[in-house]
Amino acid sequence: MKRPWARAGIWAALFLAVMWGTAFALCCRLTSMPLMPGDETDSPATAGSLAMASPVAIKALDASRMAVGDQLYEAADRTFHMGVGVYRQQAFTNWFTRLGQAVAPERHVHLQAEGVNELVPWLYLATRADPHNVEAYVVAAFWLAGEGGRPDLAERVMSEARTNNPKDYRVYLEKGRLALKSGALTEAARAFDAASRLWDRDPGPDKIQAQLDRAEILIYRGLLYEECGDVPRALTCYRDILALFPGRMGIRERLTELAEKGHARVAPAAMRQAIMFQRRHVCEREDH
Amino acid sequence: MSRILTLAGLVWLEMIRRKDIYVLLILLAAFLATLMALNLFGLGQVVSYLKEIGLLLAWVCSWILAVSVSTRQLPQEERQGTIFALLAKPVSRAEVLIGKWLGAWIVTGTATLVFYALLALVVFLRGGGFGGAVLAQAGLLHLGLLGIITALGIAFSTRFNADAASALTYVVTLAAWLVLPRAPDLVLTARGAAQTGLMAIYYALPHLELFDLRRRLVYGWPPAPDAVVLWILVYGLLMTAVFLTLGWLAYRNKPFTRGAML
Repeated sequence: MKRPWARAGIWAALFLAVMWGTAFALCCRLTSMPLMPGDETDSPATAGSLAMASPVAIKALDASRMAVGDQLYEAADRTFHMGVGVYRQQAFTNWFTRLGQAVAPERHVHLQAEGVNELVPWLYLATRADPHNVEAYVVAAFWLAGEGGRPDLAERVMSEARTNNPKDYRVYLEKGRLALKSGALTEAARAFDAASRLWDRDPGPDKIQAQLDRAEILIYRGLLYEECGDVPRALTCYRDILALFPGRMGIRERLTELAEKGHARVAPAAMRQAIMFQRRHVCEREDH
Repeated sequence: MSRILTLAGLVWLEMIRRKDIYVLLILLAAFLATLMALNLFGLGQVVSYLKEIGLLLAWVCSWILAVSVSTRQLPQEERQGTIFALLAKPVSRAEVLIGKWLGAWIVTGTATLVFYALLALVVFLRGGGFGGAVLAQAGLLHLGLLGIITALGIAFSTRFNADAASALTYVVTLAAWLVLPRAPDLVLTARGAAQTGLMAIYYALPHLELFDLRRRLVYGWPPAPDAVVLWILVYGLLMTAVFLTLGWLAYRNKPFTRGAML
């Protein structure tokens, strides 16, 4: 009598796993979909109609969705480091740990050139798990537009990011960067203005990162004002940066030069290029 | 030896008759096809995600197969009463145990190689590939890992029914897989009994993480040193022998009663 049940066990388990996965995907889709145009929100906890129906269930679902998204984002980081995970301090070393170290790849290396596109699938999956993971969108767009050599796809990524996160300043900051890279200065200025307005409304939970982003918005905007010949507005931007970070000597010197001579020693376009095309700080040597 | 091979052959024939391998193979193919069909922001020609997720799925499938095949061999013989006919022949209990283990290992090993072949084909169709030497090492170590898992499953099934044995094997192997690699750094934060418990688990459970060469394989790293691979295989052989010995100790004087496992 038991045998058919035992044999059917694996089928039942597989069926349940597939059903669970389908239900999870469906719930993710439903909770990230606005009811009507204009209902879009950046707060995952209140997204969609189900949030009103069962807040506890939705919060639990959102938490798991975000956790999956974070794991996928970590997978992207690991891919960028060619499979080398985050360094963890160990309490002891023995035969097992030594063998483990010999088997696992250990050097601190990064993907180069078009190879960086290999991390995009993980970021894609991270945004599917959590469409409010703006960082994943931004990182994908950054690499695609830079070493990945696909600025067209970067634009597409950021358009999707804006659809899902219309009130997040980081989306417009990245759109501004992309526009700068492609030389669309007017579009870039518009994007930085939008980013600045949204930053004023909601700078996000990470205060330090928000201040760094604010300074970046201001420096790009200041350089664009300079290129248009609007020095007073550029000066205002640089003063705002110094209010946030008084120790930035480069900005202080530029401010002085502009105030005294009406132009800076380094042309704004050259300065912009230098900031934009440097490889952004990624990780510390001892992290991996 | 011929008796052991005959018993292993019986396990092989049984697995061909059953549908487990086909189901897992179809599932793996379906997952890989889904992964290939994903529109990744319009980006094509990227394969590392396919390799990584595909290898993970191949590992999960082979793990499920190894546990389910190994843990049902002995309880099935007892439930059907065929153990009496089997032991009435000139075959010892140790030979039964080793024959069943060998059969389970060969079946799961063969299925795993088929899973790898399917994945390699999919990756090739996508324009990628695996390094030959690393692939050989990874396959070899995976077979070593399956040897341990099947031996553990057989050992548990000597005293438990199939369901209980498979549940225990799943729990032990999953715990070994997830906890042991993190134990050296978790010890830093654990205190007192928790620390002692963690260290006990660390030394008691098999170190399955040593057999994992997936990252080398996915990201095109050079092969691991041969001496290291050899040491890990020796360790795998030792752990397999330990579990089979424990199984034999539990099985050698076990009394059988008709209908006990029904």
